[in-house]
Amino acid sequence: MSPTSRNNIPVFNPDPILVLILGFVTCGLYLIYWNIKSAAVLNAVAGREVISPVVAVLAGCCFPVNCYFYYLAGSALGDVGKLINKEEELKGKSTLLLILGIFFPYVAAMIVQGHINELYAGE
Amino acid sequence: MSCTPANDGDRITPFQTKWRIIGCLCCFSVVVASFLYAPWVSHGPVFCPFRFFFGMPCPGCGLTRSFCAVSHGEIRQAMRFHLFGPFVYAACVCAIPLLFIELARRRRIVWLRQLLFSRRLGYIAAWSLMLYHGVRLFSMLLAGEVIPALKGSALGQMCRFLLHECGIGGT
Repeated sequence: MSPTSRNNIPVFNPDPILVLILGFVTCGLYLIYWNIKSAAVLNAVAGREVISPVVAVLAGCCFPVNCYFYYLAGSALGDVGKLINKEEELKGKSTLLLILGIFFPYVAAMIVQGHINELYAGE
Repeated sequence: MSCTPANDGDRITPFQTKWRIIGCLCCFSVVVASFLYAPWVSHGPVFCPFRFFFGMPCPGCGLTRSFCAVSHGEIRQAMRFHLFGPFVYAACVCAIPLLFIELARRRRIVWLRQLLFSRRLGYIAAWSLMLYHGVRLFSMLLAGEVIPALKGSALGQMCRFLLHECGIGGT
């Protein structure tokens, strides 16, 4: 995968509140789609395969894999931070997202989506 | 199986070794736990937070029961609990020796990585799971099970309590 460039990042910027609402309304169906799309964005930002699409799908239906998914997403947020000049702020979010992934996965998804949206804020 | 020659990029780092050991232990625990937990699975607690709060199943609801059924050789029953349960269980079982091989060789299995990071496989799995869960929810709706499930959930009971306290609604 080529090094990170904003042009290579796929566009996926739904509102975090929409992620929460659709996650609830569709009984978790939307989160499977969200996992795959956000994994694609985070992989493109990191410039390497951080989150496997298969793990992203399994995260939508398997609780321990979901926690692992948010741990990986948290570690990839460091690369997002480099692009939005918030590297220090986003560096150590893995543990927070892992804990949120255990108790409130929808909130963890909202946080990740919020930071992903910051990638497109300047465009 | 891939015939790609191994190179230094396939060598696993100590950090990746740690994750492979954790993965191996997790898969092994899943296999053992699903065998041991089987007698209690039908009347055990609800582990799914979504089902607990909203009464509706999430895409993974039924996997525990399905895993327990598979571990006792009841494949048909397992598929009734969750269509993809036996496949995920098989993936767990296969992962144990594969991770062991990676740890022993200190090299990645190239085709396994290609399989895991295959976007096509990811999308096929995602759409199959979404379709299955959609059908499951629709059949619940047709059977009239949605309202009783919502009423019986933690959220439903909380709403009923609040309405009762405010003097709105019946007994």
